Amino acid sequence: MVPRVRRPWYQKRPELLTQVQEDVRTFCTTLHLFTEDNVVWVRGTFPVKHEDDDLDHYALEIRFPEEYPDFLPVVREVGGRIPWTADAHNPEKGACLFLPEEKSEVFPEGSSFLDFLRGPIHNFFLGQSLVALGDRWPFGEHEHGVTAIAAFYQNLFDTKDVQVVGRLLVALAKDQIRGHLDCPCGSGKRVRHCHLTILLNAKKKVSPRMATESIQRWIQLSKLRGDDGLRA
Amino acid sequence: MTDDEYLHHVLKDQTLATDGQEMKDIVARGAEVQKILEDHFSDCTPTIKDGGSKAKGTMIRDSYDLDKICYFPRDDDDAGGTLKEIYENTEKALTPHYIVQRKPSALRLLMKQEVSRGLPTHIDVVPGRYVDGDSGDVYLFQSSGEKQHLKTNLEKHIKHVVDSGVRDAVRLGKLWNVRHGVNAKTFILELLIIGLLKEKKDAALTDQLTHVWKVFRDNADDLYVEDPANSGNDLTPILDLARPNLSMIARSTLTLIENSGWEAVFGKIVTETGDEKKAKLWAAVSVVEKPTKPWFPG
Repeated sequence: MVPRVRRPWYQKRPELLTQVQEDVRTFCTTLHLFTEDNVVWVRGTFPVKHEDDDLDHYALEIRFPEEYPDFLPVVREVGGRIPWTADAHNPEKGACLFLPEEKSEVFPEGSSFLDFLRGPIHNFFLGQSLVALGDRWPFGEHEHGVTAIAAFYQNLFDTKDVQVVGRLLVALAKDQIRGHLDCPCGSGKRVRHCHLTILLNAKKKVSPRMATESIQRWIQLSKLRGDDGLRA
Repeated sequence: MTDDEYLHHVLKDQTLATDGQEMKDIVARGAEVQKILEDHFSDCTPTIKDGGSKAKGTMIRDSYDLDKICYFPRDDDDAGGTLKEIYENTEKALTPHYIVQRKPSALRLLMKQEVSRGLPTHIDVVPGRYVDGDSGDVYLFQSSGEKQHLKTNLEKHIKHVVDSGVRDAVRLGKLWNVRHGVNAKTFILELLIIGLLKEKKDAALTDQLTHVWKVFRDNADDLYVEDPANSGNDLTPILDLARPNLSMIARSTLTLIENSGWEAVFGKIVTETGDEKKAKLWAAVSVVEKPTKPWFPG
């Protein structure tokens, strides 16, 4: 049997590649798109801008994953200005522009690469420039690790109880919420008489796939922290 | 300001002052690295000195590294019997103190301390072994590629660049390489620029760069370079990797200059103070429509 060769995203959707190319040109003159070894990169100098002024610049490498646009590009600062530290929100493998769980708000479906450049990437490096001058992160910062994930879902489910958050998150990871079943919060009531509205509203912001990823991230980061993950 | 004046302004902006803090830091760090190597290889007698862009006078602020060459005598096996062992033993000497990244012939050193982890030290260590006692020729280990070693000569390289008469064009070419993500090996780019400007040493910088980019754009497939230190070194594979990007970005650059001028290539010269810059950054913050908060996985 001949193994199926997966075509990279830009071959499956060449019009998307053209759009990304156009977006890069629209954004600035010093970033360029390259296709090397079946991977699409955007590399060059990213300007932090205000109106027509370039206020700062960073050498960037942006790698497009195979499953773009389902998964977002990974952004790395390669000019050696930002350390690989938690305070800089900059692990070695790529900048943490925002909490992944916020993707549907920060970068909703249908958003373009230009939106990504002008939005989360620009915000991140604008913040870095201010921090480099001794100021605070202009829009605040998330807590590190699993604390931020837990806080996100505590807010989404309107409860501080981490055990309940965990159970509701597992329910969110399923394709359907079944109203007649016992509510996963442990109240003893049926879902339709308990957390149904909250779960349905949460589904608008967090897909089952994202919820599954959140669970995996939570478990992984909790292991790194050395606990069972039930403490936010 | 004329275009050539602008380019000279860019060069000035990219120059690290000899008595400036950046240069003092890199020299101090170079001395630390030298001490680590001398202590580790106390039974050998390596020659440790500066090479690379500092020796050639082609450093640029955007991307500068001090090459610390660490060459062992021909008959001295204490550092390692093979070039690979010398390379790996040098890596071992440095690993307790730095994050060490392997490059084809060099070891790039990054900071290891908690608050500055991953930041560049701007030092590359190049381990090698002299071919003989007189010529200055050395063998370097190649950690990637088909050939496991190459023969070269630092003094010949330095002389080739210093005597070229086109160091300003080389520096701007390096800046272009970095600013536009071309990713061509600096060594190859230097040789290409020097070769293409042999008959244009007295031309204006704008003409020199335009000429180089037109050749990259129109004749990338015919580009050829020879290693001035060793004509037997086949640089074609490295050059082949660079051709598509050189051509593509040269094309884009020439169009940029035509449509928007030289500032679109190298950016505006920034003159504002820290406070002025801060004020403008906060002005940029005030118009952000969708703020985002960064995170760190932990």
